[in-house]
Amino acid sequence: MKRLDPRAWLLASLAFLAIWVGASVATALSEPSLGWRFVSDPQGQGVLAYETDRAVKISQREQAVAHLVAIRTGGATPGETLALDSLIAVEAPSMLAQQADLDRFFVLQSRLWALLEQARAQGVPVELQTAEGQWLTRTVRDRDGSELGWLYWVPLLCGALPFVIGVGVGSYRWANMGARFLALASVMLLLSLAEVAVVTGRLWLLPPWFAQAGQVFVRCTSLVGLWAFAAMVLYYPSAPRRAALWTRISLAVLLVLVVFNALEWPASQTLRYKLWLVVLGLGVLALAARQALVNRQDPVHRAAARWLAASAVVSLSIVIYAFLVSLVFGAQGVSNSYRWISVPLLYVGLVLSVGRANMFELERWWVPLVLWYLGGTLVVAVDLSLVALLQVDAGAAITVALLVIGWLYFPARQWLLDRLRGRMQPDVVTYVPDLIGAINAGLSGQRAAAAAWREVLQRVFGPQSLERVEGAWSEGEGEARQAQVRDQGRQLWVADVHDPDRADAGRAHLRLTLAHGGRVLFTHAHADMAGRMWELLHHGLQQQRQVQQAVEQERQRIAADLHDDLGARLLGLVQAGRADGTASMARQALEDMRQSVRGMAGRAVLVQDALADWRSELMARLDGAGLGAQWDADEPSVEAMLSPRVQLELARVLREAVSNCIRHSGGTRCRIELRLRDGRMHIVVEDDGRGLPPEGSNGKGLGLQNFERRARKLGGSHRLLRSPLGGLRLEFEAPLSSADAVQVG
Amino acid sequence: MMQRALIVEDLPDIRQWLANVARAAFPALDVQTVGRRDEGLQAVMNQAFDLALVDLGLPDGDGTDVVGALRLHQPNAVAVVVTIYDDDDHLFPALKAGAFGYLLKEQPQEALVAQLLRITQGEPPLSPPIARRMLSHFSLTVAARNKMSRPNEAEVNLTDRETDVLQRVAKGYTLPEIALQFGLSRHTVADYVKQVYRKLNVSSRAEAALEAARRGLVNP
Repeated sequence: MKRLDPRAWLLASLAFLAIWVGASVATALSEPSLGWRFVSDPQGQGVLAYETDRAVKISQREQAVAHLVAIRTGGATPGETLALDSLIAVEAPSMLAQQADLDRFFVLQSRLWALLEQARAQGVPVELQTAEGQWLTRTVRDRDGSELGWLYWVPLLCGALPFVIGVGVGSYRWANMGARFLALASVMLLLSLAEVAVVTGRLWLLPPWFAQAGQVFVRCTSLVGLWAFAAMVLYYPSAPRRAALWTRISLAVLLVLVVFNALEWPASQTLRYKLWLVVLGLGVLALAARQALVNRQDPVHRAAARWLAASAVVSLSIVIYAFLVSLVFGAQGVSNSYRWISVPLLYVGLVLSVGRANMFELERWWVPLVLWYLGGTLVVAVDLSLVALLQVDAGAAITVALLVIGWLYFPARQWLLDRLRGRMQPDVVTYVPDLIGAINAGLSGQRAAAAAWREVLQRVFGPQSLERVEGAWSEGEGEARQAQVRDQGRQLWVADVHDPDRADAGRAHLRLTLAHGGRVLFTHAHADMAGRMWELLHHGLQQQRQVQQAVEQERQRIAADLHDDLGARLLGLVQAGRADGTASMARQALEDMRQSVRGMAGRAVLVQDALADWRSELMARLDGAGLGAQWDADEPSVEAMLSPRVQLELARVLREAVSNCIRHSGGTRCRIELRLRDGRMHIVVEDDGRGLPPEGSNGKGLGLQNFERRARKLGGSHRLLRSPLGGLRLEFEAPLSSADAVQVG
Repeated sequence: MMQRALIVEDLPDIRQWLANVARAAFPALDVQTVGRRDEGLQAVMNQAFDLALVDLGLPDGDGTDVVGALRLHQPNAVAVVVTIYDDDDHLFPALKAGAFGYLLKEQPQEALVAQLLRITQGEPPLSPPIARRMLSHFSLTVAARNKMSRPNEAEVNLTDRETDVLQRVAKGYTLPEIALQFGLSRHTVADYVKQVYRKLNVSSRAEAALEAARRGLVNP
């Protein structure tokens, strides 16, 4: 099917609305007017006449203009007298329990209509007999537009407004079955309420062609409307497995019912109409309960249900208020028309849920709205209970009620709101220590910073899941913000930390799903906060990176200077080829310089790489010197890192120990053991040679002071022992992460 | 047989000394010495060499360029880097450009001579950091080639055995140890290293060509 432009649909619907309202107004205005609005006498004796501008239909006898019991055409020869049955002015004939009453209502209506039409045709007034026996004369004229009154307009508007909303939602979300049925229900609502407006807004008579047909029409439309409503709840938000089948079956039953109603068969109102309304109403409740059960885990649907329930409560309470007010103030028969106000209120909730307004945008209004509503309810409740229970005068009651609200409720509400706002929107300042921690983690590299950033997000938003997704995310989706609410507030996308100098900068983001484990939706406040935190972190990391770069550059400059100047001179000494040992010392100095420079300009390395380098160098040297070498090292964790300084110092310790083996031990075997335990490196170098030098010799040749010095530098310790192999055993241990050594992972 | 050698080194004493080393290794060698990068490039264009000892830090630029030029114009010549930098950051670009080994300047003359002889006999040195750099280089170029949907050419990709050898060197095993582990002769393992050096140069040039094609400088 070709997809029609939703705007065209909407325009067509508005045109239909205008036509339908016009038809309804024309029907209402065709009623002949006596300048009075008539209400049934509550005691069943005739009718009461009121001014037409009375908005509330309260049938208090003493306020009536007149109490009338009979009518006849006036003029020179008064016509036949027609007794005025109070049934004729009943507000809603559809509510008449007995079919016999309804039939009588139609007969009375058409007879009275004929009488008034006759008087108007003959140009004579009508005469009305009061309960006291007097005859009053009134002229029959066309009904004035101003005589329509609120009793007419309220139901009509209550039908028109939902019509616009429902059809709008339906045409823009046609793909959604729920929205389609909402649109259908809204159309039915307009059709029935246009009829209801004519009936309840009439002065007292209905056009004969309209009275009975209207009854049938409104019954059919309200059945279809309620069915559509039930179908909507069936499909929205998630349809059960056999939804289509159920829809078809119930549609078939509905069509049969509509046909029966059109044929006015069977005679019982209950069987062909009221029973089914109750069934459909219960169906709506059952289906709503099913939806609530099925979707209770989803925060978006929960939010939708909350708004829907709120609007239902508000609209229901309107009806209850009206009932209570009439009960407490003893006024009977407040017009039923005003209950229709609950319909548009219900639609507010429907639009929010079915129309899928962005729930997360509304979340922060939820609490204030509840409190606001509570305030109004409290006024009514206090006022009514004062009047009803303590018999307080109405004026005094309202004053006391307002005082209570002003002194107690408003401050309490303010306090509550402030507390909630503080809890719902924590300040970035609260998390500054965490952010500083993350920035400091950046010293250990990008990965550590990223891990710290995830931790911060985890702590702030407590998402059910947090995953990293490769790829740009804001392309073609508006502004390049650092955090966005996605999927109706189920997800928050936050930029990952990145190095702006890298080619893949900003090519990954973090997806946080279900804030606080699904208890709340992500809102713009969350996104703002995540964005601000990201900015802070990014800024901090950038600063830190610049500082590191400056330090690095300076180191490299010093290193280059050392190489070029000192290195060249030492090299000169080496190659001068003097036989007095200068060359050897210079070579040693050059080697030391190169190691220092490497440690200075170098980067942190993986422990496993450092071990490999040491192994290669030491094994080659021992091999070259003709010693049997044994290497025994732990496999380090993949992510363990060594700072260049620790790496350099440990390399020197190993190198010197191995040199001792080669030069001084006189042995044939050398064993090197490296163990990683609790973040410390344990080194053992032992041989099968001469062992410790004799007492008295200072052991200078072994460079023993060097081991001590290096152990102190690194915050470690060393020991010289007798080896099980027979020779010297050097034990050296130091932490992997001294002051500037770093371990990641 | 080595007949003509080029030495590119800026310090006169060292230059002379390197010439001595080269003559000690190959007594009949005709040695030409220059002190600047430009002069080195000039020499490579105009004369044929069998061997070149190139310092990296020259006053007018990087010795790597001389290595590259030699590789391009005289593929049979052996280019050796002579440096006091033995770290992979400094060496690797020169190796990629086609250097077939490196000598550390401060070693005693006898050690240098022995080292030079080993290199020219096809046994270039390979330290764990260099091996790691080579491994990541090859895995990256393979990835890049796959992305470009070009067939993998055996000429620029390592065989499994070559990769095994590189991985073991990267873990700190010496070549004799590796020979023992694979049950191969030391000579065979050295051949693998030689192949890796050759492929490093070839794949580096292929990589450069791919990069140029990607940027639209050259039509592939």
